[in-house]
Parts: sequence; structure tokens; C-alpha cells
Amino acid sequence: MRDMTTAISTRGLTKRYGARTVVDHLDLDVPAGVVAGFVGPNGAGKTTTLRMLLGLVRPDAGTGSVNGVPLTQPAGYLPRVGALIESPAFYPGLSGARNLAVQATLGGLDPAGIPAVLERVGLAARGASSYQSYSLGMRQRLGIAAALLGDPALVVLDEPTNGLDPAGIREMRGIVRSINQDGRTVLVSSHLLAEVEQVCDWLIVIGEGRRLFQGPTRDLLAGGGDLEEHYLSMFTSTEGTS
Amino acid sequence: MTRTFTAELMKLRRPRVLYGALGALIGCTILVTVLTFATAPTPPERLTAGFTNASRLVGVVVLVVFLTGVTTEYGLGTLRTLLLRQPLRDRLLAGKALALVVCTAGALLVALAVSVASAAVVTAARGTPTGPWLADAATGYANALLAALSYGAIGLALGVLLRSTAVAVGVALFWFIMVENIADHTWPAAGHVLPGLLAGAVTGIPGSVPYSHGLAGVLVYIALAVTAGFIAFSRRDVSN
Repeated sequence: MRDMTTAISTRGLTKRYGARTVVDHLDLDVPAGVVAGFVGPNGAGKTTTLRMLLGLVRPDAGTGSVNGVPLTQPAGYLPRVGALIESPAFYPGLSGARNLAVQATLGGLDPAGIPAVLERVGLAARGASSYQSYSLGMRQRLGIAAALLGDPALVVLDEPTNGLDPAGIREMRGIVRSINQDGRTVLVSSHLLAEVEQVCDWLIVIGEGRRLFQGPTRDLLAGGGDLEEHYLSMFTSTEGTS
Repeated sequence: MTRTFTAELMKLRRPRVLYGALGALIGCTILVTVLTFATAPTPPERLTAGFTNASRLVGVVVLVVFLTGVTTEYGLGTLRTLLLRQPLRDRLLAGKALALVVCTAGALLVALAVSVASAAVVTAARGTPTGPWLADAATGYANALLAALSYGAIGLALGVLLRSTAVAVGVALFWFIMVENIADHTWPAAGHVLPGLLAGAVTGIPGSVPYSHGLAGVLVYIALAVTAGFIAFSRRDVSN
């Protein structure tokens, strides 16, 4: 039984860079306990939205909350949020485990949890190796391990399958599912619609910073067709009206 | 801030970073000390004279260490990772700065010891007597640390404002190596206002500015640089 309270909520969230509006009055609702897919073309404003949710970028307008805490107080909700934004970012001269220890220390988390998260993403045997010796897939997995430190209630993953081969993508799918099975909310930004369709039970589609769809994935697919067809039709109709 | 400080020390323990910065600092000090004592027609009475003369080069090294301490986080993208764990940006920057200050204080102490030891060797080789140096060393160390921290504060501010190692180092070297040297020889008031020359006055490098003026100027520059760095760091979006 899922807890259907809201994990993420925004109203009129807006971000402008100069004259360009990157995120345009975005209203989002992500119920707690779901795996939510966040999709849209390149430049649609996905990463900027995620950065605003994580306190890295300040909105120009709008309000919102994460786990019930206003976006204006990221220190109030980030201790229960784990995130991998854009690409994994670690210190190349430190080992994977040491990188996690730096994050655990900074976040006031118990470093005793590091072996467990490394085990969970399949990096237990390579935790002592230097980060610069890691393959792209291992780096992504270490990024997810970092996001899982401290038992977060919400995990935000921005393009976690970027650069992965098919086996890596399949493995990532399993990791995302296992994170959700613990009752955590997962918000995944991805370009891989087939993956989103398989893994996500909630869907948000944005284009040019605006919301085009939000709701259960099954609602979108109820009339038949796959996610790719619905996704492309949204952008065809948007182009037709613009 | 304790957590940020401890996490920063964990990162600074990387051998390449630690030995690279310490090596550069000690290397500069030894070079200037040996040149000071081996080439002067009349060897200085103070064994710490080499350490004092090296303060400008040491200052530039400290500036680069502070600067890269910030720009590396932008370059690697690790700043966003750090901010997810410590969203209170003033605490994050304060912890980082404190760790760098502690490391600088330790490195300068090592540099002072190495400088005095190498000065003693050179003066002994030349057969020249040396005066008492221990009390002089304590004052020299305190002043050198203050001067180095003024360079460090400026480095920190440049790193936050410019965010690029190459650009920030280029600007810093252009200013401290080129502009201030030229101004020192062409503008009589330069020593009263330029940060590197004021720092020189604090460490005892002969010039036209009295120590008290240099001290006040250095403290003003530290305050300005720290304020600018913290304001920019707190307000800017992290979009890389």
C-alpha cells in the first residue's frame, strides 16, 4: 500500500536566463512512493527544474515543496533526498569509497553505511579503487550509491542511463526498481522512453519549460499505443499550435 | 561547519594536492633563502631574512591553492554534490576556507623551519656569524601567515567570482606579477593601496609603507575579499 501524500509539488515554477524562459510556470505533483518519469526533449528544462528542486538554482517565480518542506528551505529537506544530477561528479584522485566517505562526513551521515550502498550497486569489490579507474557504468553506479547514502525518502536521478550499454541500461532499470521497492519515491529524468514506460508508474512530460502531461503512466497508455507514439504526438500538436 | 572542515581535510589529504602545494611552497622558500644568503654582499643578520623575502612568491602559491580549492569544485562538478549534502552555502565555504587556512599555517611553519635551516647552512659555509633568530622567527611567521592569508582570501574570491582555474590564475598572475611590479616602480602611491605591496609591508620587505599601514590595508583586503566571495557564493546559481 503506497503512501499517496505528495513528495514533490510546484506551482508556477519559473526560471529565466536573460530573455530566455527555460522553465515556464511549471505545476508538478509527484505522489510519494512512485517511480516518476520526467521526460522531454533536449533543452525542455528538465535539468533546470531538477536543480531548482534541489536548491542549486533559485526560481525566478513560483512556489513548491519537497517532502512537505518549501523549496526556499533546501536545508530542511535535502537531508532526506539523494540525487544524481547530470553526470556523476567525484574526486578522481580518491577511491570510490573515499568519495562516499567525504559525502557522508559532509552530510553528517554514518560512514558505516558505505559498504552497504556499494554492495547494492555492485561496486563492493571496487570500492577501494581510484575513481579515475572506473568505467562510465561504474561511475554512474557510484553516483547512485552516493544518492542512496543516508536512507533518503526521495531519490532524484537525472539521465542515469547516459552513456550506458544495453546491459548497463538493464542493470540500471533493476537498481531503480529496487530503490522504489524500499518505499522510496524515485524521480527519473530520461530520454529512453521504452525504459520510462517499463519502470515508471507516474509520468511528467514537459516541452519548452511547460508541462504537457502529468499523471499515471497507465492513464496515458489506456487508449493504446506505446509511450513513444503518445510522446511524439504531444510535440506534433504543440508545434501545430505554436 | 565542523563537518565541512573535516570533509575538506579528507580531500586535501590527496597526495598529489598535498605534496604538490607543499613542495611548491618549500621549493620557493629554499630558492629565495639560498639566493638571499649566498649572493648578498653583506649577509643579512636575521636568519629569517630569506623567509621574509620569499613571502611574495609564497603568497602567490597560497593564492593559487585557495583559488583552485574553489575552481576545481566547479570544474569537476563536485560543487553540486557538496551542496546537496551541505545546502547552507556560507557554512560550506567557511569550512573549506578554514581547512585551507589550517593547511597554510602548517605549510608555512614547515617552510620557515626549512628556510632557517638552509640559511644557517649557507651562512656557515660562508663563515659569517648569525644573530639570534628564534624571537624574530615568531614575529616573522605571524606576519607571513597574515600576508599569505590576504593572498588566500583574494584567491578564494577570484575562484568564486571567475569559477575557471585558467582564467582566475591568469588574472591573479597578471595582477601580482605584472601590474603590481610595474606600478611599484612607476607610481609612488602604489605601496599604499595595492594588496601585494601592502602584504609585502607586513612581512617586512623594505618599502615606503610603514608596518601599521600595511597591516591595516591587508586586513581591509581580507575583509573585502571574504565578503565578496561569500556573497557571490551564496547567491549564484550552480548550473554546471
